[in-house]
Amino acid sequence: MILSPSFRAGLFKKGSPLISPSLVAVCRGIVGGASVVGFLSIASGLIDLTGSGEDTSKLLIFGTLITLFCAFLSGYIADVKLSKSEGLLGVTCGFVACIFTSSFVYLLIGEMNSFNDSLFESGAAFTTTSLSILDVNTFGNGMLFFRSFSQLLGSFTAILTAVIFLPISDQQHGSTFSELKLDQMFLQKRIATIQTIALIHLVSIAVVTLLLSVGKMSFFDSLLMSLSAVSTGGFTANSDFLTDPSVQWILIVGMIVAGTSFLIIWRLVTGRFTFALRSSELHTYLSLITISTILFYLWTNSGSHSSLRQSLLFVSSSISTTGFHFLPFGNWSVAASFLLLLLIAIGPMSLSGGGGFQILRLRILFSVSIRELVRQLHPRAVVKIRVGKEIIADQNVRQVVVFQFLFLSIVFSTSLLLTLLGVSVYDAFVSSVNALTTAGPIRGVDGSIIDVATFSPGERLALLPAMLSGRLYLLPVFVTLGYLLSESRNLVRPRRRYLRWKSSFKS
Amino acid sequence: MKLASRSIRSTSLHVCGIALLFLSLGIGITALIALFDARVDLTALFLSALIIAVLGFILFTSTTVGDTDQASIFSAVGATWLVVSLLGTVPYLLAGTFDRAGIGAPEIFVDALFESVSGFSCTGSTVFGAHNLIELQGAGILFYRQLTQWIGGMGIVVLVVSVLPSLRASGLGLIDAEAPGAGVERIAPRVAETAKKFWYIYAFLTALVSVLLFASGMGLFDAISHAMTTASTGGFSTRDLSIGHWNSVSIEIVIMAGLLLGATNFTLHARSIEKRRLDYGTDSEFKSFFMLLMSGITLVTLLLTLDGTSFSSALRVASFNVITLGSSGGFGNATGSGSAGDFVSWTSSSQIVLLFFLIFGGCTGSTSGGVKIMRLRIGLAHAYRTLRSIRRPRALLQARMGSRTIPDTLVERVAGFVVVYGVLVVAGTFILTALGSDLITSLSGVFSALGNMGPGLGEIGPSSSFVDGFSAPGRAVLLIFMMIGRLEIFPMLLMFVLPYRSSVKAIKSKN
Repeated sequence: MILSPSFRAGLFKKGSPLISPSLVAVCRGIVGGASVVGFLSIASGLIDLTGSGEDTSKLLIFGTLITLFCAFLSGYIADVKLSKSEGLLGVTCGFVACIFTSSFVYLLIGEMNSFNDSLFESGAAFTTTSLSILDVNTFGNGMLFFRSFSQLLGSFTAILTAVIFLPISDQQHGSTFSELKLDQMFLQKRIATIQTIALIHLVSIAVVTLLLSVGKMSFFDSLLMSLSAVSTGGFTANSDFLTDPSVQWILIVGMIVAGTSFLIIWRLVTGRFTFALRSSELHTYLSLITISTILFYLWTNSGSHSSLRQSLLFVSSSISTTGFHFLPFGNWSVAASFLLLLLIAIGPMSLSGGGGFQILRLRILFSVSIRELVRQLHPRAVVKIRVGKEIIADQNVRQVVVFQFLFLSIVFSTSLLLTLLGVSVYDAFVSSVNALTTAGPIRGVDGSIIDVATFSPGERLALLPAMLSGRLYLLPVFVTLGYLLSESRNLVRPRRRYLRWKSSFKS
Repeated sequence: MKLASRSIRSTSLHVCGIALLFLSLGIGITALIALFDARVDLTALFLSALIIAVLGFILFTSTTVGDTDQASIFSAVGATWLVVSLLGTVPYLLAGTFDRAGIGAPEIFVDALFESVSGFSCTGSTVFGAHNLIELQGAGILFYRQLTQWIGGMGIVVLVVSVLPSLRASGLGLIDAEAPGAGVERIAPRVAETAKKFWYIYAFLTALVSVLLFASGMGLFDAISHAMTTASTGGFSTRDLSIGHWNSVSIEIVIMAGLLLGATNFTLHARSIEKRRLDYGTDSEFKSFFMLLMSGITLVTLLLTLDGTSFSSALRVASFNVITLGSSGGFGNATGSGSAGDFVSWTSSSQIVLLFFLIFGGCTGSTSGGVKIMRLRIGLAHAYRTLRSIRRPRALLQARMGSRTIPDTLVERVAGFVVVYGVLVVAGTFILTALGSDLITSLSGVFSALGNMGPGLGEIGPSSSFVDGFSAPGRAVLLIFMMIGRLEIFPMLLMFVLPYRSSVKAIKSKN
């Protein structure tokens, strides 16, 4: 009966709650997210055969069941056109569904003691936050691949969200440059954009994997490390290789490229070198890396030549919000730790896989402050916000201002929550910044890594909302919260609900 | 007529001149107090008053009001604060207040300048401490220290405007540039009258708090001294333990009430006096401020009680410290390091709550510092509007605060302010950590300096000296931030525009 066409037709008739766009967005998100995890489980199950193959059956069964169930459910979701805000709601629900579903995978494999732990590990993977509580040595190839690929999925989703729903720079106003118009056309063709982003990711992973596997690393370890580097995730299966200078150089390049806007990479790929290298955001990004490397080198007081490379490694790992677990070197001053924290907060270029505030937003905010300085002297002046040669639309400037407000609010509220749970002020502040920027690992003043496994389950769960918000660039999560609030308000107003139902039936 | 023709046309120098005359008058009064206090520091204070009076007289008589465009106004306000703060060090230097073994002349000067700037900017951070006790100073210097905060609280430029008719319409611009907040409301037809009204209210508040403190058991000198720094929400005390010296609930209640009134928009006071009824409930910013303080007190009391402090003690220390930081007062009621009132020894969560108040401060148009509750509300309203507009892209939505619509220009102004504030916080923390201070001390130190709060977290708690937390260069950095924070950033950053323009003009004319 449940499979009958008449039942389905009854579900979607006018007035039914199942064709409410917001509910459709939620369902699409959940089904999409869960099915992605299903596919990933199947792929991981097959890859597990390259190792011991202990987890293969579990992964394949779980993946198949989830995928089939999602395929069945997808038939019940109405084909309704969604608005931008409903799209954002869908993305958030999809992301949450991914995290929840994959946490069952961790539980199923049996390496995690509790659902809290598996939820945190899964959240850290999908949000590309390098905060792990797992002992990776006990994992088979399948689960290692599952964990690393989750990062790539998280990063890919974040870029797509930024491109499709939250473009900061849409180049609609006053752009007279044919090159910029070409970029605009590129961004408007969404399917082509998605394909291009996927292709750039694939090529980057392939190149980094090949380069890493040339040295001492096995192909599988190289693949996992390149997945982490390209997705700015930072998880590693074998941290012994992180001390190898050749691996470090490859990772430096990989992380810097991962922090670069895919639009710049696309320009480079299409042969528009001059235009790509003229990007003011790229100049800021590279300048930040250079200056920070020098400062970090000076403030770590080690003096050796190799420490310059290591400084660059730490800086590129922080600014791209990758967060590989490199061990500290030399004697760190307080300023060196603060510099890394600052770089994490700033983050890489917009439209890259990294989290954080991102350079374009920061530059827009700088322009806003300069405009206010000018307005203090000339109160009636009409000053447009410019980044390089591009004029930023007022609506986007407003969103960036709100982003700043929400960013600071989340850092504050997460810190407060952590301190309420017993964490010290310093640890709480640093942890919340790391979680929100999806960076990690949390480092002490001397650069030593603070193990999140020492945090209580409550403290770890307190970091999850910040990690999720940071990975989705805040706004989708807040739009979802808005929907939740309005729907729950409607729920506690039964009369209004009844009248709405009644009127929808009449019409 | 001849004198006028020979005068230099400069608003900055003219305003500086009269401000210095006021300062010398203030130092003269403190010299009189020193006269009755076994003549300790009498010569130093008298000499300081003379030097500053001569300088002020020369500046005032040899200049006339020049251009009154925006750049000149910022230049005038910035220059006045710089000159007054700089010459405010003269009494300390001549009296040898900060001389101590093991430090050279530059550090003594930095300490004197730090105390002077902390006074005039109503920050309340101090370099006195175990190495140099406040209570060992003479009454003259102590009163001078309190007086700097009293003058700085309402604003030295407001004082100048109230007695300088030649400034005419540009006076409101000057007050606006100096006053904390998003703009000054004219409460009288003439600008000078508005400035005078503000000063009358301020003086009345000081007198009222003095009487109440005296009635609560403080000595007359201490009562007047503390009333001056309460009305100005400054936080300097004549005692090493600040208000903790008396360990008296009634004194703490008077101080809290005084700080609350000081941190309230003075236009509201003026309206209430004019209408002869309390008009505070109609102001949405005041309501938010009050609600936030009450929530903060409740939360901190709860947290301290859970941590093992008795409820009455928790309520007392929570109320005092939340209000003193929320109003940017910066007094302390700790009876010693590690005592119940020493918030550095509280739980981390309580400290984070205090940090919130340390950042936001009081209402606009008051004597308090910080980012201000008005800006927080505008930020919230703007965020709410933007998030709603994502769901309803075609709706024409306005940011609202209470029943008022917030214009986009004001939102942009607040956004610009917050960005510059954030940049300064990051830059300051960066410099201070590079100079060797720890992260929490540096971060809270910069917030405290920019918000003119007084104490901070880490090594600069309510019972600590800034000498313990920062090196001399670190203190020099902080005093710059105090100055920038007192003038709400823009005037201090834009004060160099006019000299820059003049120098560009001069170069062009030479060529």
